[in-house]
Amino acid sequence: MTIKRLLLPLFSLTLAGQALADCQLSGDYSGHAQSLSVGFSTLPAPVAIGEAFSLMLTACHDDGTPFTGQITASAVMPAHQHGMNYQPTVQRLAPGHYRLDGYLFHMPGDWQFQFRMASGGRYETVTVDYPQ
Amino acid sequence: MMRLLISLLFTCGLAAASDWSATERAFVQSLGPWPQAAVADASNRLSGDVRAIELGRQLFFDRRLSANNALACADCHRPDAQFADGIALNRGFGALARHTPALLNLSQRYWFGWGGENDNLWAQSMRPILTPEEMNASLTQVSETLRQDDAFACRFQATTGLALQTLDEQTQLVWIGKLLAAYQETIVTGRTAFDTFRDQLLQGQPLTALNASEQAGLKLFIGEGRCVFCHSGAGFSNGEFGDIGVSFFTASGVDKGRYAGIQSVTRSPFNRLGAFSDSIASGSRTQHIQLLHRNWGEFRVPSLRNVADTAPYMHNGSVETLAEVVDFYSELDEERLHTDGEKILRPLHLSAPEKQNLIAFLQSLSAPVSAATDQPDLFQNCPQAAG
Repeated sequence: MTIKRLLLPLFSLTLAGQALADCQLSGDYSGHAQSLSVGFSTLPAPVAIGEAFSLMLTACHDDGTPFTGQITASAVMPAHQHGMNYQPTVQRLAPGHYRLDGYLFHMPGDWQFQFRMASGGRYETVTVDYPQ
Repeated sequence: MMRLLISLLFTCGLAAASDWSATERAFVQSLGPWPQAAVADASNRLSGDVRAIELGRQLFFDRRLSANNALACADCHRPDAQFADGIALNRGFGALARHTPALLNLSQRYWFGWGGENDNLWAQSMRPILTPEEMNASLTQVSETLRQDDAFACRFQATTGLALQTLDEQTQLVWIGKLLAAYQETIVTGRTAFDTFRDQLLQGQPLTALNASEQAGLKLFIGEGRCVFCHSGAGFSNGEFGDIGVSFFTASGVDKGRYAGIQSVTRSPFNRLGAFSDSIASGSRTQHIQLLHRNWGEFRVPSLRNVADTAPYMHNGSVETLAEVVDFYSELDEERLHTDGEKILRPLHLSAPEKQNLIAFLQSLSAPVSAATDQPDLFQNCPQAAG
């Protein structure tokens, strides 16, 4: 009984550790920064010019744990040197899983998604090209 | 030189389907199809309703919505002039600083007003009624006038299910705006020569709908002219705002354009996120709009459908003809553009044949306008409308 009391919490911790280490990227697009990666899909896909869309995004640290910090999202047209007219909102659904709403590409051409990932007092920026 | 040669080849009638690259075909495809499927405005539960369209039509021509019964919507948005007025800056009860836009294909739009001061058509329709320089009415005047009209009260109840007398003045005006919007959504342009050409190109048919000059103009429009970056989609507008270097000074000060428009729409109790909206979910763009310094002096990118018939041009009506618009872009003054704005525009330095081709293409975007007509049988259980 005593041994069981000791082992159960240890067993739970192990499971939790496995879950944390099982962060899996998903989606049609991916990008990497210094110590983390993102994967995402657009909703709907493909993106229609002039129509609002969302992203479903996963984010993982390189050690396999899910990213749980703050994301600030934007997108730019590098060739035209301008961004969007809208600021997406970010909702954390679960550790490593986010929904981003409010995107709208107002011009045809090549866009680039930008994600400022802040956690623990530091941040990294992930950029992902979206050619059209 | 090469550009001129290509232009001359097209003008001489040597264009063929094989002259259109995959990229060009994709751009041409993106400019249709037309007409677009009608989509009801979720923020207006009267959108698409036949009774609302008819009652809105009657209000559109009703001068009682102005001070002294002087002006109706239709007096500045004239059905015989593309639902515009054909002059640079009109006068209502005072001088106006912005050009009267044509009310065409409005159900395809999200932002209304040259600065996007409203995110829906019903709020935009309320605005001129109370604006002192335009129709100069008051809430109380409009309310009292309509309450005393038994025929209108009956038709209003038949349409909305609401008793006019039970509504406060503000709410009455909102419903008037929604009725006016329901009618204006029916004002649409028909299929153009370009639309037929687009279908021919995509279906591999002989390209007969546009002549060689018009096709050369289209190539310029989607190619080196870069017009299609802003004048995109089936409506030939991306629905957003841009700075093209037109002066934002007015007779009495400065027109901040989109900058003030964003401030206005986000504060408005009549936006899609407010209590008067029938669908807050339809207000996602309003929720996510961001105010940027570059919005100063940006104005709405107008649709180019029927553009040849809607002179004069620009937010202040400062350019009289389509030829002058082409000249404006050809010799664009980059010094007038925002330094932090979009790096798309630069002088095109078009040759005379290129200008002619571009104008010819723009003229191919015209088609007859249609709108809902009188439906006398819809309100048979109500008293006859006055005069």
